[in-house]
Amino acid sequence: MMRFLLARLGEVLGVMLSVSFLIYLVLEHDAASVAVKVIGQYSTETQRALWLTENGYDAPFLQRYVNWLWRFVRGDWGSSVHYRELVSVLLPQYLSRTAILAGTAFALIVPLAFIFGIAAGVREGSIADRVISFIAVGTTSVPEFASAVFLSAIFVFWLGVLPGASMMTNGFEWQQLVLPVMVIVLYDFGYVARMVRASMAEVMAQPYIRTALMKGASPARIVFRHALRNALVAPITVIMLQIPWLISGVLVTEVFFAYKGFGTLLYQACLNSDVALIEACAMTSVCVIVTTQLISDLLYTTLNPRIRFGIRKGEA
Amino acid sequence: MRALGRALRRPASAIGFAMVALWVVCAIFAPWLAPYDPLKSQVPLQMPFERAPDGGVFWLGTDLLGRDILSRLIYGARTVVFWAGVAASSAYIVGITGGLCAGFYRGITDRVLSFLANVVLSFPVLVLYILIIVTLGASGLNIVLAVTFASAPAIFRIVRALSIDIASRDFVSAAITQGENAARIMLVDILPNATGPLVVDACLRLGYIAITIGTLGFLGLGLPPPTPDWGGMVNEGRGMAMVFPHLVVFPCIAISSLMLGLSLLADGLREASRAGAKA
Amino acid sequence: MRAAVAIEKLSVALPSDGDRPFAVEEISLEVAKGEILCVVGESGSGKSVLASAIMGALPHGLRHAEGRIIFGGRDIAALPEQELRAIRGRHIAMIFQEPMAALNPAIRIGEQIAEILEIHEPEMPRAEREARALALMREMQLPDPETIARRYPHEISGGQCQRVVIAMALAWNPSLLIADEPTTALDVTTQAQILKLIKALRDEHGHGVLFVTHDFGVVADIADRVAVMQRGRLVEIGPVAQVLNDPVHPYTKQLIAAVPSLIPRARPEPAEAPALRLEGVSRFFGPLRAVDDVTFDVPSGGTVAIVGESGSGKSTLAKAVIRLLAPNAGRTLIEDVDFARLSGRELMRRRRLIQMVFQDPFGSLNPNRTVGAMLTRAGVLGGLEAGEAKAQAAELLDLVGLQREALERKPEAFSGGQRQRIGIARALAMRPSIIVADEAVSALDVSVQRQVLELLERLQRDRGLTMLFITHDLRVAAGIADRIAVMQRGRVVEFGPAVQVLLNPAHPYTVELVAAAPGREWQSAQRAAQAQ
Repeated sequence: MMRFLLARLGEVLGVMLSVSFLIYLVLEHDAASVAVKVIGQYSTETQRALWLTENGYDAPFLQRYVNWLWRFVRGDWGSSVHYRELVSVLLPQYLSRTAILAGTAFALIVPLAFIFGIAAGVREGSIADRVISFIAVGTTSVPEFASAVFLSAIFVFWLGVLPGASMMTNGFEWQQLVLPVMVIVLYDFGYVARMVRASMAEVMAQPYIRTALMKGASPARIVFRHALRNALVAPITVIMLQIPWLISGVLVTEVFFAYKGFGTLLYQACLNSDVALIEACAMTSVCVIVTTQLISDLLYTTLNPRIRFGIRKGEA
Repeated sequence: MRALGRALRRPASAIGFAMVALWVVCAIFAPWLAPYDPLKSQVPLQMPFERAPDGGVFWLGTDLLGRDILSRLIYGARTVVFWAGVAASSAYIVGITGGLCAGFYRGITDRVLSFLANVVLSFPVLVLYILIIVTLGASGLNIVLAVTFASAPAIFRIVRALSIDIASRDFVSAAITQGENAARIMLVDILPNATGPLVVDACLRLGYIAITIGTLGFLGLGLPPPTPDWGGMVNEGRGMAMVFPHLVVFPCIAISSLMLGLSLLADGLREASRAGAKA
Repeated sequence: MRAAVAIEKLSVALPSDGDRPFAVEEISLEVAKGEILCVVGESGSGKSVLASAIMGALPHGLRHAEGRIIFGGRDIAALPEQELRAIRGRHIAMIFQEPMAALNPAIRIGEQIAEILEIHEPEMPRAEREARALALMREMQLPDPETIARRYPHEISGGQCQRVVIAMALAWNPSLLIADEPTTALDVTTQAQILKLIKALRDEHGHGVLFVTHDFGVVADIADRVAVMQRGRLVEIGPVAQVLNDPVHPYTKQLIAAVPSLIPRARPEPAEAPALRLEGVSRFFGPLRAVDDVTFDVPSGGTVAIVGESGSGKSTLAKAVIRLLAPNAGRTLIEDVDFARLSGRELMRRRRLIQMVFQDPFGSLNPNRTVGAMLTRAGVLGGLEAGEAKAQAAELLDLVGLQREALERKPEAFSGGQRQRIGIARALAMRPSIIVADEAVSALDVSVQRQVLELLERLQRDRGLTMLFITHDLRVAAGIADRIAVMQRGRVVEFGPAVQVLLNPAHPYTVELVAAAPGREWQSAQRAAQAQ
């Protein structure tokens, strides 16, 4: 177990290093363009040359990379050109707001997906299954920007019960979270529900369910005592992998509702070619993804040995 | 192919197929189907069914700049179908090649390829695309590049898992004992038997790519205007959506129907190949 | 004796796309209390459907068409689900073929056994449940029940799993036990133990047993009465001695005649020069010695059968010989060249000398290729020109008894036996001198097995082929082998002429294997009767 953990951690580090190299390569291999982006298009040659020397861009690429990596690891993430602030101050603020949004959405998606998925998978092909599957397919077909438009039209303009933007200028107001959360939940729960359904349907077809039936078990006992324990393992990994999606995939929703979260930050950084900010955002999202993958692998292996069958006959 | 036939017998997948086919037809035959030039400004902000200056009808109305929305939808299908198709094809070529090699050879080949896939998989699509846009600028080709990067590792994983499973079957062992060369084993024995799940995946993936292209268009990061782009249309029109809902409703319906059609088709194909396997 | 269950004209309908309208057609039979009734048939006979129908556990798509099932004075086929539940597990119990798959992998053994007590008597206190569960395990002769009770199914062996399943089935002393091929997935020695257990339990508790099987040897060993099924219908039923020794229906006669004997037939002495020599062949997987220092010769034109149970290493040995795996040590000499050490082009050239026929008819042919394409390609790899290879493909089909139209078709159009023939044709396409058959008939029905074995023998005679035949079934080995190698845990524990190994085994493991083969007494009695 320890060996497995260490091996995976090593792999994670390897991935992060490669990723950081790629990011730096893509964004800063051309030193001249970096200067343009930071100081602005209207700067002169001399100004740029001066800036480059001051900031260590005369050194060869690899050395610059190492320097940057060293600074980055120590928490020095540079300054945002657009926001005129230290990235290390900006990022946590915006990230925490996204965490609130994503967390709320997550807290709704998981129970919804499980309830619907289990109800659908228990009896494959039943009316419940067909209806739920249709709802799931339908909701995941509508992209976030489309549902954002429609939900806004209904709740903001027609019914007038919710605010149209979520800028949180007067501190935290929960009403401003409702629409963004709705959009996210609507788009994602269908996908997770279908994974749960598939896992459930597969388990219900297993021989040990038939054994339970032959013992005289009631349907409730079969589902709750026998099926669920085995059906929930695979969806857990899927659910863990929703977390990284929730961090960056909500970009559209955040931009639409002007919610000052991580996605908006990344979007602005992109529009403004804000190199330092992009670097930090990219590294952060990669870090989140890699960490959740690791946790999900760990969860799967701890839950899995109970599921692994052994020996087939005649295999020797 | 037979799976397709079986799938079409179910009403849900038949509807899905029809929806997809509709947009593909629009994409291919756009110049003949569209009543007007999608880039030509005529009368701004006409409601649906209003008359056009030349005597025809703006079936879906016109947008802010006076361009016929129906024509823009039809040409927009061309944009989406074409670029999503190209991006998906490129991703599949990369993913399938890598997956077959990793799954068949295993060992060091597998470990290196899997590591590379993991590195790329740690980038979310939008972050990847933003990186590319910032450095290379926005264009169709760059979208293809970003999508290939983003999708190929997932496809690699699927193909690799399928290859490992198929390679454990006896007919692959038979080919090995006959001295068949690796390339032929991969292409004749393994790949054709993996097409079932891959086709199902392809339908869904095309849909997700189409949505990504739409989203990028919505964010203003997609293909540069004035190329008709469903996402871009929603973005342009959203300020006036309350008074002129037709500006956003129709493009939203377009993209949702394409994705829905692909999803229904994928589900139908999956059920059909399961039924076929049981027989 | 009163009947435990009486089935009256039962018919179960298949879905409209099935190959016949009824899975089970107008079957009437009774199982008396205290008797073991064996239901025998080949695959597709409907015997499993019959067993499932009694418990109301028909698979999806099949439905009860007509007939009654009388149990405890009531027609249980007409009972609503809720009342059936009270009967299941308590008065009628059922056990199935794959023991490990039948247990929930996420729940401990002890808890699973206790559950059946809880279901039918929820007020029983927990301590009593657990004590009774342990007592049941002891009755099933499970060693160290306390430890096993805390384990999970994948941590115990197949035989132990089946004992657990039987414990659950008999917990409430049902009047009827339905057993659907409960020993088919087990090793022959384990099978012998489980059969003994079932008989002993029946003697002790006096319940009726409906035992479904395809193996007449098993029938001979445990049945009181036998019912023979063919394509959904009951063709013969009667006391076991009568049906086995004096069958009436032609189908029954055909089935019994197809059961191979344990006595090897007299075979001509094979030529001495070995075509294949194994010297110290070993293959390890980490600390596991799957194949450990195997040495023997295979005479040219003769057949050596490698016999063993699961885990014996016989399949690994086959793979090592044919270079699907590389042996870690030892030499494999074919035509005096060490096949195990070849590589690259030399290996490719010599591969045509030794070819393999595989076990699973459904996994050994590429579903997406036509038979013609497969055979032609094999011919080309064997050195022929494309045109010659095509012609040879047609000839090969003639040789194995298939129509030439088969060239255009894909494997899905053929039955299991036909696919094995195609596999044999493919193996012959490269004109090898040695054929390795890895459990080549194990997945086939007994009558089809016989045909395929006869085909192999004929081909061997006509072409002077050398055969290495892997099997777990001593009877198959008896029918086809000149020499037999018995493997246990990677080592060859006995090797010698078939007659000697089977009739006069030296090693204790071989003795155990031969003794465990079901139906021995019946077959020796048959032979004795025939001799007179």
